Amino acid sequence: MNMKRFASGIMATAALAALLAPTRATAEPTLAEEAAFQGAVARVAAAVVRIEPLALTAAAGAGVAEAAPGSGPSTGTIIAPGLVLTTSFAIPADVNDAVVVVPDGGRRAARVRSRDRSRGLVLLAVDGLPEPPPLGEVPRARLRPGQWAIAVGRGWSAAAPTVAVGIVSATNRAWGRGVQTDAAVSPVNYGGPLIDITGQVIGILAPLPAEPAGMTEGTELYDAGIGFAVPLEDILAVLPRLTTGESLDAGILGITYRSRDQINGEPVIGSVRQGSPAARAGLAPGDRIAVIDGHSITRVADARHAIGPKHAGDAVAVTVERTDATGKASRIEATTTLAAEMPPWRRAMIGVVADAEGDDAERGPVRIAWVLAGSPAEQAGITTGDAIESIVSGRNAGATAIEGRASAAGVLAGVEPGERITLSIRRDDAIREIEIDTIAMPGDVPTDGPPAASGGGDPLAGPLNAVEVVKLAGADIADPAVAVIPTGTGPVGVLVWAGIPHGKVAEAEAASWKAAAVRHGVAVVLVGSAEPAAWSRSDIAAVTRALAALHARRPIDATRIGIAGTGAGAAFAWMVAERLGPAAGGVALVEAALPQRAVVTPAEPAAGWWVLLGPGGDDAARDRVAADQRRLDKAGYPVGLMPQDDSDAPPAEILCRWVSVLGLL
Amino acid sequence: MKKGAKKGGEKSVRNLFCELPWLAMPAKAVSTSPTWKRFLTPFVIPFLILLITGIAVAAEPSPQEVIAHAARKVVKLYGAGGLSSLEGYQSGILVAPDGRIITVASTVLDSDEIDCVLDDGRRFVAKLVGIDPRRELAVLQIEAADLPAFAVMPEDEPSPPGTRIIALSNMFGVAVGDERVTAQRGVVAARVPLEARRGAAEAPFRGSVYVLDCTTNNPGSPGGAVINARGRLIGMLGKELRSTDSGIWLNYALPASELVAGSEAILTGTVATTPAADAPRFDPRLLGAILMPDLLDRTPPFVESIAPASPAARAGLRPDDLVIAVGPRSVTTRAAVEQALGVLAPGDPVKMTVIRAGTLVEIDLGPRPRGATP
Amino acid sequence: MIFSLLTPFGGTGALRSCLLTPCDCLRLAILAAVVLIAPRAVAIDVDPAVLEAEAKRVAVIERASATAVAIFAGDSGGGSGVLVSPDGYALTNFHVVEPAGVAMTGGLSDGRLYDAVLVGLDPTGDVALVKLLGRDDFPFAVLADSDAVEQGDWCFAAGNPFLLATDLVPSISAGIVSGTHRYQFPAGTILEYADCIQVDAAINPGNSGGGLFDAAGRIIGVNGRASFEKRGRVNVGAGYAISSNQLRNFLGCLKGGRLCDHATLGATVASAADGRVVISDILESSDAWRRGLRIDDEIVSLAGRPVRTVNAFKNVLGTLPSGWQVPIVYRRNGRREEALVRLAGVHTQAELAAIVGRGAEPPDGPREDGTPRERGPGPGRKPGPARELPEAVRAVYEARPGFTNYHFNVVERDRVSRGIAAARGTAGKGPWVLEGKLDEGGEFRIEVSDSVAVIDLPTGTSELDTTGELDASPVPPGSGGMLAALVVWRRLVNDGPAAVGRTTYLGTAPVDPRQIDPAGGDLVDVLETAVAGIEARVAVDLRGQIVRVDLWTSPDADPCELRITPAKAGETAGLPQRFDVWRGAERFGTFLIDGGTLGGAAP
Repeated sequence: MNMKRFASGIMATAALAALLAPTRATAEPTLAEEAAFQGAVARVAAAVVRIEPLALTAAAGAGVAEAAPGSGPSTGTIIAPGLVLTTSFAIPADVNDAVVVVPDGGRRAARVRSRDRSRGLVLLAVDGLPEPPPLGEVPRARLRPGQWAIAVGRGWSAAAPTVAVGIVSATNRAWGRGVQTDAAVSPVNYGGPLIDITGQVIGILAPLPAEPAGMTEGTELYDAGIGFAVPLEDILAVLPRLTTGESLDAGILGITYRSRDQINGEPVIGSVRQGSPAARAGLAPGDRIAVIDGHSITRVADARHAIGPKHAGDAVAVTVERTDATGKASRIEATTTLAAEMPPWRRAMIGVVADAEGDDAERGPVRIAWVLAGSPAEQAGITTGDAIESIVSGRNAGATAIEGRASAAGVLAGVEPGERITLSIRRDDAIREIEIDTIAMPGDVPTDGPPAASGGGDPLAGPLNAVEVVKLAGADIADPAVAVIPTGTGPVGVLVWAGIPHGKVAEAEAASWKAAAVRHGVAVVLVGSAEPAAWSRSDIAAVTRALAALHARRPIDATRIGIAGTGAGAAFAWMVAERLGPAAGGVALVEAALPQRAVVTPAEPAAGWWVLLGPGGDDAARDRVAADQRRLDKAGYPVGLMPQDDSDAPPAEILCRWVSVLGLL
Repeated sequence: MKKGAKKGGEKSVRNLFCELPWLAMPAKAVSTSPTWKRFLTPFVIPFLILLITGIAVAAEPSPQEVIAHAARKVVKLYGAGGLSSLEGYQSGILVAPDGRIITVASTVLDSDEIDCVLDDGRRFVAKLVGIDPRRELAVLQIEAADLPAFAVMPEDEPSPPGTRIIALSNMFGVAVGDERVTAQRGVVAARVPLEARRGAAEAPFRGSVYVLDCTTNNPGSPGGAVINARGRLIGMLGKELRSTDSGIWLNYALPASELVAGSEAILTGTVATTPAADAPRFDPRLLGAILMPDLLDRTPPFVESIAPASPAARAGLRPDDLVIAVGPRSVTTRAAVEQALGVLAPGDPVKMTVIRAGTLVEIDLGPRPRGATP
Repeated sequence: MIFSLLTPFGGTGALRSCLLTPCDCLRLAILAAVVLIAPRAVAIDVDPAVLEAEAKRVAVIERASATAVAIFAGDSGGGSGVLVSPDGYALTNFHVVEPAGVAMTGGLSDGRLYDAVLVGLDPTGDVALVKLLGRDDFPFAVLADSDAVEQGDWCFAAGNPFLLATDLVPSISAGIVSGTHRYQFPAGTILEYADCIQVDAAINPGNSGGGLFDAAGRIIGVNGRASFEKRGRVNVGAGYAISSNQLRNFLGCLKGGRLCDHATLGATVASAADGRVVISDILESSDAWRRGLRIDDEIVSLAGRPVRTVNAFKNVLGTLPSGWQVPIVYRRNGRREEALVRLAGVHTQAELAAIVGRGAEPPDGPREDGTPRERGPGPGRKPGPARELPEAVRAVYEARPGFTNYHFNVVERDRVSRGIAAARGTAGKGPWVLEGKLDEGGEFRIEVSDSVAVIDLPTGTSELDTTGELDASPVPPGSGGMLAALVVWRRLVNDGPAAVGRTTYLGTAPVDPRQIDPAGGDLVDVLETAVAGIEARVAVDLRGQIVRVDLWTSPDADPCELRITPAKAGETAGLPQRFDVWRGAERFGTFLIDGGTLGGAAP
């Protein structure tokens, strides 16, 4: 570029510009806004510090392409003299030390003072912190979608704060814990402030999970135009407690809801955890929540929004409407104190499997399709064909009328294994009361299972003596999954199998599954991997879409969905299960232990998979499997060992049998 | 009524930019009168620049005006590709009216025929003039004249974080023929040394780049133009890379200063043909500090033992100290320690920051001895 | 003035245009917002222009948010929608509602859930129309002229990405228009995004079906898909919205509870070596063929829009409903030709029904996170026992082949009927007599009664027995059935559409195909009727006057086009000013009316 020529041009600029310039200003004060961004950032810059990962926590860069980011430099905000607020992304649960780089470049040792686990925030005590000007606060009440929201961090550079500009997208997200912005939020600015155009602080950026989308890590949506900040107002409310070293947890009430649809679903209690605040308050399955802390509740989501922001130890006032077995309605008000955690929940059972329920099942008494040999139910003389009309458990005052399998499971969820319950059973049009002592779910797969007919029972379809092998095509699935589906029209259980990743699956691979699928009335879905030799996160979506496609052609018994895999497929199976959450009934990690990064959350009535592991080849592997078995058992999961199997064929028989009994009551 | 008004508005814009014959595109007036041309060409560039900067100085141009004007100078490039997740297309920036184009040096250019499609839909075959492997910058040439082009000049000073930018590129190849390239708006997020990789391969460039608050790491984006609110070119979109630290995808641009240096080096044939070699590593053993052996690829730099009577011993470095920084550079791996020591010149003072029992300790190991690569 | 289009808050001229817009509520909202946000401004010195622009933006967004629908279909996932009328009509994507079936719930930012029913589907354009029930005063947004949208315009999306709107308040993401008139390829024959708007506002799964708004809060498009890369299904800066002008073209058909189809020319095009767009293949059964188009003809313009690339051709065609008549300009060995072509459908109704039954998975369609979805009764599929339709929905749903919800076709047909009745006023039901001159000279007299239709022309007299089949002889000769068209016209006016054969509401079309307003200012209602052996399409203007009758005596022949210039405004039941009768490219005659009666005074 000829500089001289350009210079000569510059001189004439003013004159020419005067001739050519438009006279009016633009609608957007673009440059004034640019100046405002920088002014606002300058106002908080002194309070924004860099958090450097310690070698100990620095995981090697993220694995698969879509994987959530690993560690890396992150950000913190000086929230009070000597105190830096950051997130559990920078300081994971098992870490207590950190290095803070202050704006002048100096390093300071930091120690974890306390955590707010309900919001993934970590308070660090740091010596020799500069004292920044106090942070201005934007009250929640004054937040408006559309106002400027500027994300400030120091993850990219300790020298100058990094800037991402967006707007406030929504003011009440993450069950009331977060403000949503479309500014780019990522590991580099987690822990940094989200400020308005005047430099007042809206909140602290944090990787809150996009839970309604099944995204549990909070980092999956980094830089995707969906970011969250914990409102400063909420933080300041608990800062005194955090400062004293008290860590805060999310408040748990201890109930599940009958409906899995939390948006449209009615707020009817499905189960009450034994020993939970809800139980102490006398709440029972079947109660309809009407009011929480003065907020009227009409949907499950309303209830979650009311409880979401609360911490363990907070009091909550709940009003429920109850209709007892006689049809008498009453209104019960109760106040209780939310808990931090529940004793691990163990699934109590009597040892029966109910008829498969499809989409159009009658929600009436539960008909028993099969009785587990040696189970309390068998000992009590319960037989196939009996119908459970109602259950009396010690916990809930009256009898609970049974409307479908879910309500029966709900009652059992509130029962301590070993506790005695009374069933009223209809047999040959006669009602009889039967007392049964429940036991804990066994871990190992029983040696037989319900007859296939109950998995796909449909007299019109004739005996289930065949399967069809189909590709679960969908316009956006390049290499559709292959499904082995028992013929018939009744609801089926589903086994999703992820083997060694090898790209797309061929129909031929279905061969080794046919016999077991027919025998147990289980549809087997064989998924392929997008990448030739690796499972990736995008394959999870493919699985859910495959399930949708299967569901489109055949009703599915929602209580019998098992995810299984071996080798790399085992880790993938666990990811899929995490993704499906309660929608999955069990996970089988064949010839494998838990994946490295597996998080084992204590079992919940709504989420307690039946897990199968191992057995594992050499001693080291067996030790790991044994350790994981203890770990899972401690967390309350029914967990069993896969039998030794030296054949190359997948263990179709046992896995299909396992799926057929996933719905054990 | 509004539509009418808009038409008028468009016209006035066109008046500003297009209806001066020597700027018109394709410039009939020029090609039909060579004498004119010879007389005018020296002034074409200044006038072009004046028109942009002139507007900017006098009155703030709207984003629409800025984009409408600048997007004409971004071209769509098609070449080799189709290989494992590597796209066969990218973007380029016209930097001279005679058809000189700068873009990212990538596999797309590994082709006998690089197709170049201008904003007006005209298609040319581009010739590869040269490549600067260090900056992953390439210069192309097409046989054309009197094209709208950016003035590529170093910025007087770097645009600070918060500076508004518009990225113009053919990302995802959505624009074909005479369709206009994609415009995205954002701000400069930071200006930092590039530490990034694609797969296992480290990016060769070690200088500072603009990190953008704007999702530009997409197929087709590399080689796109990054302009500020006044329409001035401040950088070129780089390759699709992820941060070495966190593994997150990077949105970044090579600053204008590097574009100038790179293209001038290519045109004058003074380009360094080999990527910048990293400074030779320096083994802290030579200071008497023996670190934990490199078991994993990212073994934490724990001190395993200290050689007696060594600088490390004298300075009070102890076994089990965890080195977190060498000088100003933070380190999380043993390899990083060796690199950080390597960039110091013999004789430079070596300062280490270590964590000992939860507290930070500054250690002064004295001058760095002459090193040998481990 | 160019700026006043970007936002109504620009210069003075712009301000005026804001006042012109019917939104005093907006100005109040702005004041409110300024009050709310201004106080904190004292904290730091910020250019007032910045704060003012922000406050105005907040007000616009607050207004638009109220029109955003969070669509939930239980386990079927969900997406977004946007209200376009006070009685609850909301636009969304086909791929959002398809798995939900005919019944779903829609949440609004007022925190309430409303029952919603499926009204119409356009699988090809990935558009669906639903109706929220229970109110007649829903907040709604207006459709802007998307052809006025410019690259760089500020815009925002209001929707339900990743179904995060558990409190039913939409997520707002802002950005600029990254590109206009984009073309995104279909999946098979459906979900084609033609002439769409590309934005850098964050568009994520679940944003599907939500509105894309301009700085004035008007709908410029409906977000439907995005380019995704290496990170899986999250936004990477490229979202695409179906243009409001395309939506407007289909709105009538959708309101009619129909399975709408897109247009095809019956010919494929390719770009020649020299860049011209030429016909590479053409069906002899197509209207284009009948109008004289042949292989290698260069397409110059279609529907009034220039065609310079194959994409441009697809962009024009992709926004037009099947059955529209549009002007086409083509060039053959240097000579410029013009014609009016009647566009056919991309699919048969059977194909569409099959597609709807099978369902759709968009290639990049932002949809909710994709948890296993329970399929409700899709259109064509009977509601299963497990999914009993809610009372409110059952009252407004009627299944019928070829329709997604026939109930709404009746609603629209009756609306048009009322208009026709009002226009007819108190006229009696006696014979119609129309007299006048032909523009090429000579006089004419037309009489149409319940039993017979007669026309006297200089060339002779033609007669048609109106008691029997009307397709016996298309008279007068060469007209293609002008008398039959007059008979249909009279019956529709006298007896009302419901009483004339099988008459359904077809949708809307430009009143004059020769000059189409891309912003849809010229759309009129069209009825389709099959009676006494003939089929006809009848255009009814906003005043309830029939302005055109296209009549087929046999499906594959050119119809008789009776174009009616109605009485001047004010003269209800006054005599039309003139007829222009065409058949194919042939003008049969122009009738200048100067006397007669349309049934005389009421008895």
